[in-house]
Amino acid sequence: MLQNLKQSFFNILNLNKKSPYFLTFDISSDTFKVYLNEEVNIENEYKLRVRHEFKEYVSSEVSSHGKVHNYEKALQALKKIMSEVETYTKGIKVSEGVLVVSGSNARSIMTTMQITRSSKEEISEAESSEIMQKVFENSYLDLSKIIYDETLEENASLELLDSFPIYLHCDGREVIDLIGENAHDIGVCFSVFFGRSDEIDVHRKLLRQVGISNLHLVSSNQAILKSLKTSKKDKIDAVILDIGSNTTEVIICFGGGVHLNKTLDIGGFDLTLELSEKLKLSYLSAEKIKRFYTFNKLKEKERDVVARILTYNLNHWLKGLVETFEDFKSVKTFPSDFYVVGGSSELPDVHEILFEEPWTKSIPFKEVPVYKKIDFNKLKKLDKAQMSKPNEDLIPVLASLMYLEIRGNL
Amino acid sequence: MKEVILEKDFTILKCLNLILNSQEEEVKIKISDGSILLNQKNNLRLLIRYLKSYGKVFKIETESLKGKEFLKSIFNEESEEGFLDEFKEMEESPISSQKLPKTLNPSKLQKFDFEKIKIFFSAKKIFLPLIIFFLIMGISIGSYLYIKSQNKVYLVLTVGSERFVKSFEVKLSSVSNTDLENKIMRVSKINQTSKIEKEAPTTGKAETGKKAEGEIKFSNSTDQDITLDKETELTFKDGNKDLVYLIKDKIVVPKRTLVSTNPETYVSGEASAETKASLFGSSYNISAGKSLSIKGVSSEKLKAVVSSSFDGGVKNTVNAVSLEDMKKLSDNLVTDFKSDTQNLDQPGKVFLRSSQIYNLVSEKFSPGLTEPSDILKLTQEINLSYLLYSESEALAFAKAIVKDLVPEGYELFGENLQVEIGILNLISVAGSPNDEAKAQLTIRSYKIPVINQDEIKENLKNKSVAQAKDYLDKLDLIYNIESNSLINVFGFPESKDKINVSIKNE
Repeated sequence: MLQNLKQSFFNILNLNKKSPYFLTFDISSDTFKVYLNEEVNIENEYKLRVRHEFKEYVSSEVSSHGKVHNYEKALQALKKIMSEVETYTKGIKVSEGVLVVSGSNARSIMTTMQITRSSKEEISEAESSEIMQKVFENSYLDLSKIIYDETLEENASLELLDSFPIYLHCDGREVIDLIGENAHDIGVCFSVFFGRSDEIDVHRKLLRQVGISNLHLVSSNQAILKSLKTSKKDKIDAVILDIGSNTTEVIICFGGGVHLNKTLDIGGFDLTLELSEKLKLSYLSAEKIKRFYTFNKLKEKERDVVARILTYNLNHWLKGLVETFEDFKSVKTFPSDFYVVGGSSELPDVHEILFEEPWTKSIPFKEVPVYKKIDFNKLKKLDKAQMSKPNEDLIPVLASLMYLEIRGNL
Repeated sequence: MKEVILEKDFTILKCLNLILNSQEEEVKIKISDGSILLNQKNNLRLLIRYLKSYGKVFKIETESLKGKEFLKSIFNEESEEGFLDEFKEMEESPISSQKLPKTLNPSKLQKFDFEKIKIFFSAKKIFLPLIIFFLIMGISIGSYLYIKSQNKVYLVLTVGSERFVKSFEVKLSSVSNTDLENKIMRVSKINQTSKIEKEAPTTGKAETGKKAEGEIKFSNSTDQDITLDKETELTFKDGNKDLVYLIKDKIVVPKRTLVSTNPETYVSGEASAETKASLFGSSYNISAGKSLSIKGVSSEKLKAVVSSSFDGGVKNTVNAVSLEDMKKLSDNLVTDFKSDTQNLDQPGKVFLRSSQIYNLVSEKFSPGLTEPSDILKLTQEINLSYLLYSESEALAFAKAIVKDLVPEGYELFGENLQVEIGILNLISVAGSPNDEAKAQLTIRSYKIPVINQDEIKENLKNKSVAQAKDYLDKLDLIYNIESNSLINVFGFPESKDKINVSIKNE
């Protein structure tokens, strides 16, 4: 009753009218990318349509590695983008946003817990919540130790972004929900996604200042994993390599969740910078050359020069990757399904070096790794008509899809 | 040991390349606070493993407490993995060092058998005083010779100098060889063609849509057949606006026919034609019965009336490519390219500013002029030619040119002169505007009296300090003798090689 009254009141004032658009922000590197999205109804099916991509190069002195180094300049760049958005939407203000938490700002861990109860009485809602709370606390503590080992940072500030169960066991039986079950022994396993709150808070403040009042955070780890699963129960085992601008993230997935992720501080930006120095070009021109090279648009002589510089530096990258894999002390054997995503994953040399170099020999893979690619065409809830660079924009698009699903629209 | 400083804004790749490209086997690495290498332990471990795999002897130094902790932790880990024997961590100093073990030789670790030595001495007791005597003598002689060999002298001579600056007008040529007599210096001409692309939003407008179509009936009231060609214009006056229609195919309207002689009655000849509007728009959708005028034919002779109403006319205005869009994009792309090609130095070669000639080889716009589109894309092929000179050749050229200008008894100070070349104007000799260039070559250096170092060394060797000073006082220059205290005992060394002479200008 009360709900109906509230609804009518809002209807009269036209207050609950949703803007057709929302924005997805990928602002962790030297280039801010903002995607204008909308839900569209195509043949009675709701889909995500990316209307436009707004891009602003801010340089690594302003933002890199998920950190904002010059707040004022970052704010200026976002204000410029928001003004372009408003021009594009013909004056419609967009206040709903999704922030992609990625690179070293996204941390994921899988936590298991065994609970032995004194009696087999029914599990109440309060007890279930208490177990969940304990799971989060344990995840936080485990991850803090890992972060300390990696960076010597004590009491890392982390923000819980999302979680989902990998399994819930009551006396050895798999159950859907703990509440209402009678069990002596409870076993739970959760995949938990955190974000580095110090950096997220800066991004949050920036976005609030440019008018994003309704912000949702999506972990890139979770968004990628979700796109690989055919169903919620899919117990996928895989290695995901996300080659971003400043970092290469290695995400290890077991049983349908993220076991752990680690980051190598080398990404596409570093390669462009090397090209820029060796070819004596500006950063943006070098980025253009890299793009031409990726799409095989250079002359043979130019291609050879670029290939030589890239291969030399990709060998350093590969050694770093081996180090990162070796740092997963808790993993005995790595899954053999190997997905490569991210802006620089399209570089032909990345595939060549990953496919041809015998680098995996020193890493305990379960079987010879099989390299796979996320098939854009299988994302049925995405209207692909307006997508020009699907692979480059993959992760923000996956985050947008995930957000719409959480919002209950898809 | 070469020192490499890794600044805080260097990427990991830049750090690795900087160290690995250094030819030195031993490097001292200073990591600045805030460097990406100190972001996480893995980054530093990657650097250290790299250094090891390249067999570099290295020292790592950092002011960062976190960095020191990382180093300590990594070296502890590495020691557990088998590097313990070769690694020595320096607890007190911020510097940590390590050398890669080439092979581990267990025999080196064997200890002396002190028991055997003890037995030897007791058995040969009688020779002991003699052995000790010779041992002391040997050590004394050896020490004397060693200390004497360490006697080195550094002599700094300060000479009066005069600034030497000369400018010449020279010709730089990519088609002729270097010719000192005519002051021609050979330079290289580089030709490169680049393909560049750029996109921009369009600002023009275009009309699209459908043209209205209908049928017109013609009535001929003359005694001659009237032929109307394809695309004959028919006009309907809609208020102040003239709506023009075009006949789709050629048509012949027959002459009138006599149907009765008394009274004389004629029936007009009639024919119908499919017709379409000349422009897009719904205003051309006119109804049946409307009369139109025919271009070139009087309405008294031939009438035109809409027999089947016009419909389907629609008009939309969309963004399109305008001439201004094309010009602006083309200008911007060329300007971008020019600003990207302002520094074209190559290793050992210097790019001559103002020698660039840009030629637009081809230009392709997509889509074309007036075509509807929100974005205009331009692909240009630009040919760039410019002049480069070799630093070493320019130095040799400059030295040869000024050779005769330095008075006898004088020389130019130092090995490297400062040479500057600035273009005055470009000259075409083989078809290109920049085959040659007239340029100003400026040489900057200092003129100093010729000092015969060999002669000075010869006169100083084996002399006492007082004798040496006497000799040096007679020369017209300021001198400074730098040495350790051994010079007071042994005087100047016997060998010329141990007397180093350096010359400083005032």
